[in-house]
Amino acid sequence: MDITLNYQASQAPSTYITNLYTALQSGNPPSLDVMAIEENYLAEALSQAEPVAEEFLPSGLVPNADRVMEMFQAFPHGVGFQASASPGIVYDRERAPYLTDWQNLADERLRGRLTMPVPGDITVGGMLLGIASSLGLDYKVPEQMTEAIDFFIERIHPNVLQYTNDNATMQQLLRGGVVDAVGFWNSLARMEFLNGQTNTAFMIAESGQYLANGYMWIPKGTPHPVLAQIFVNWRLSDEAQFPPESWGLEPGPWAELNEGIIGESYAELVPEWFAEDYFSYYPTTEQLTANYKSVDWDYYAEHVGEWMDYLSQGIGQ
Amino acid sequence: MTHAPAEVAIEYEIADAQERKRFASPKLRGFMLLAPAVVVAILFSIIPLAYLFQVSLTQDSSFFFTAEYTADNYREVFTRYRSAIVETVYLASVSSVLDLVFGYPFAYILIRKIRYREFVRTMMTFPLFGPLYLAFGLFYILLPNGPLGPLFEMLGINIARYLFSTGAVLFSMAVFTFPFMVMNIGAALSNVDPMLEEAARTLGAKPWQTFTRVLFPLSWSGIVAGFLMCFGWNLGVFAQPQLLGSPKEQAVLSIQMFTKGLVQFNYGLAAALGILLMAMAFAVTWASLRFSRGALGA
Repeated sequence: MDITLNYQASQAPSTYITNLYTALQSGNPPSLDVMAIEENYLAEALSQAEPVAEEFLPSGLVPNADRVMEMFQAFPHGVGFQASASPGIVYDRERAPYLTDWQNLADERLRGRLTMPVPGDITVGGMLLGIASSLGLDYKVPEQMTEAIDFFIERIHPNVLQYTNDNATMQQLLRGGVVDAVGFWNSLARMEFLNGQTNTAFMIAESGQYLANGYMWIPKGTPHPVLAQIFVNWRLSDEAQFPPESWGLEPGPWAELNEGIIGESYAELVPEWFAEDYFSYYPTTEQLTANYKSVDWDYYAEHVGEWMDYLSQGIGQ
Repeated sequence: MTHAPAEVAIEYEIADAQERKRFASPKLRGFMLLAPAVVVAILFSIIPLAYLFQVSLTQDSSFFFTAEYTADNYREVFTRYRSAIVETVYLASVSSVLDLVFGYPFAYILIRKIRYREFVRTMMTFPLFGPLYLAFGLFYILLPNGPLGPLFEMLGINIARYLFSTGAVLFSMAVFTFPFMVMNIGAALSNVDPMLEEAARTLGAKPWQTFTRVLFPLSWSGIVAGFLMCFGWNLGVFAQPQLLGSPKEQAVLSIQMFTKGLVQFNYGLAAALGILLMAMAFAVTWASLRFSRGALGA
């Protein structure tokens, strides 16, 4: 039996949440069977007064969920399908070699040569967390987070040429030499590097890097709950995690799709053509647990509105 | 002129009489004719608008709200977003002025001088296919590694300077609404008898006098209608500042509304911004229709 999969993509994943709330509020079934978006949105969904996510894990229909590292399991509502997605700075090594940490974004050499994401999205949310960490501030202390946002408004915003979430625009601007750095996700750096833009790199902040991986969850009242679980299981399968040659992907798009090793049993799937360099681009499972910072997403979901509102006001957006 | 034979006329009369019996009252007939439009308007316009207005009076970031009404969102719109309102009106005004400055002579040439004007009119409507295409096109042209990059480099022009600038946004907005201006002014000019211009010239008027004393006053309604139409369209501008604007231009109301509603989940504030934008657009559309009477001969 053939199953047709309709895949909806957006560079503003928050729109999925709005669509879901609209459907549920109006008494309609959700338009999507599976949400595959950053984990903060799962926390946001679970914070609603009424349940908007199904409890479906563990499930006999999703055996692959048990292969996923515990740190990426959000049972019973969701499970991570990425291991190393991190919002941050993608830059040109030759033009901006001084970029080593978040505070460097305030450097005057970057004036008009930086793009940042639109305030509100998890991309900029992750960056605010990084900036706070870089300044030695705690995002869970309101005054300290305000200080971190003030740093963005007063020191980084003047350098921003444009606020955009469109990675095609960022690619063109970086390649054309219009900007030296863009605020986006680490996957862009991998894709550009493997597409031949060898000067393009991801700034792994000295003060630490936050993870914001994609999680899958099933909206309440979905019309196809079984198919949804079959999809979740497939997305966690060997094939979907490490696309084989038969998919015909070039190295750049392959590296954009693959987001690291989500569990020990996937480690042996690293393709031969990439085996030598793979761990230069992706963390090992040991590094994930030891070096990367995780976020208290419940706290984040509760306060991100205030942070973004304050930031938007400060930068006139 | 031909006339229907008498038998046919009688048949018409009989058919008409039957129809009159069914909808005897002219009021009822009028209501029946209007009913589909009224139903569509209520279902797809009035009810959603009423809901939008209701949301604009609520706070917090959830669709699952219990209605606690407040005017805070409107207070915020007129305090915090004052500069966004100014920026939106500024961009819409200047781009409409650009349309007028270039659109008037174009419309004049189109009406008075061009032989294949239908072809030119068709070509002119291309921008109406979408501001997004226009903005993307301009974006790629302005990129240093874009198709015209080598040409600009040869001419010593640093084209990247114009990317993400007020100029680029205004230019793309003006190009998008240019056809509205030309169509309105063209309609007004086509109602002006060329003999009047000829008479003015015969009486010794210089070209600029003919323009200021004859053409301009007679095409005034078309100018006003065209300006208001361009202005109204440009009030809701989104794609051009999003793709070609600096943070200053990105502060326009429609982008703020998108960000507040769909990115930051502040539905109440987004709805209030939407209501403001709609009120502005409504006022401009009304004024535009009011002033277009002379130009369009309605």
